[in-house]
Amino acid sequence: MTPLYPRSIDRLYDLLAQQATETLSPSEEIELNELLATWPHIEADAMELAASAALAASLPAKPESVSTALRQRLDAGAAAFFDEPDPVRPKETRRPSRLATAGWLVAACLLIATGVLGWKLAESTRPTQTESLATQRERLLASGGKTFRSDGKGRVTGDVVWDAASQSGFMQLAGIPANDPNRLQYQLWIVDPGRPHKEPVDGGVFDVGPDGTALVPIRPALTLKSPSLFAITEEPPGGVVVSERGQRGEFVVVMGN
Amino acid sequence: MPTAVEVEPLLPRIARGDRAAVAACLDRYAPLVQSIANGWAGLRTEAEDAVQEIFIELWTHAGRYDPHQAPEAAFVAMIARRKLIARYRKAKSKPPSATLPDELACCTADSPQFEIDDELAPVRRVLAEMPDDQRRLMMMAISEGRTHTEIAGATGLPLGTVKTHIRRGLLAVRERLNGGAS
Repeated sequence: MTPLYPRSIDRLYDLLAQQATETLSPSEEIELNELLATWPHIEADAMELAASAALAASLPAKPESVSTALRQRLDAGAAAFFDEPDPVRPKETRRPSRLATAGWLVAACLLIATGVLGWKLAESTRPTQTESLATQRERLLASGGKTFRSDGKGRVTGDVVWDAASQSGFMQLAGIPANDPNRLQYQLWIVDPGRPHKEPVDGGVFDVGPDGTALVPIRPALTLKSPSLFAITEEPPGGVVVSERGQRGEFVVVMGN
Repeated sequence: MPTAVEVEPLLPRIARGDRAAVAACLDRYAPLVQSIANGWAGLRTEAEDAVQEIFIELWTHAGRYDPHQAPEAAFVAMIARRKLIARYRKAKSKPPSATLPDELACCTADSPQFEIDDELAPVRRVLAEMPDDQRRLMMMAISEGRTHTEIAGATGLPLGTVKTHIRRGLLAVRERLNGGAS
């Protein structure tokens, strides 16, 4: 079949430059995704990094001063962030390879296709240290956050409340075995058909205590457009870049809408 | 030609849970983020809110930084820019046009700036060497958030010319980030 547009690296740079400085149409996003697959050595954010470097380097020689009040807010915000119980921690991994995506997606879609019912996670008594997260989750839910649920057929059940505007959400799980962080960690993956790159987005790693429950804030590293599945895999400590378990469909639990 | 000076990256340490690196990161990059936010926010209070949001994003994404891909300051600026764009798109408003001077004061190799100046020196050099029109059009898109069509309308240049200048400018910066001589 003759492609609708030339597989030109020039066209790839055109689209990356446009993406870095304005927006792409849906058809352009599809085209960009295909071109990135053709040249996998070119990073999808290469031009955005270049734009950001130019922005940083072009600032006036005299830096803005940071007020004492703002610095105190920043210190307090950092303390709150890093003191959060059981957060999904950033880790030193890079975006999964586009080449490893297809099998993962198929596996996830097949699993979720078994039927997502209107299962509601049983209300549970949360430990004291997660009350604030539970309150935040309830607030997000009340404000119209979108809910994704497991099908309730497995031992592990859970749901995700996701807010596209703030790009944040909460995942709660029940019946999930406690993990030894030195041996394995749970890793969240997010399937987003709305993104130009179809590989699952890494949602970070988290741990589960002896009570077999978890309430985990979600802050994906990449912007999600229309997430359809949230899936958990068991991975080595620190997580992985590409989940072989995910590609084989070995999910602890999958939550869809 | 100036080359990037090795500045110890802080984000990998933060990703490993080193709390001391958090304070150091605020020392190093808060002025940069504040400067970027001030260019987008109309009010100082809005800018400060944005700065706080940007650093939360930065803590979240610290583990994504790849020192081999770009200077850390560029990654910080990318997180800041993404957050500011999202913030203003959410508010359904356009960022105010922060008019850049024709002659960018930063674009001399020896001008003092932040502590991060050294690692951005090659980028400043590229900007200084870039044809004026190319730099101006590229920075209108990057700093002022204008669309290519808006830039074409404002400058009277054909849209294709605008796109070409922006693309070539970004490619020149990218090549320098990758260690090439553009």
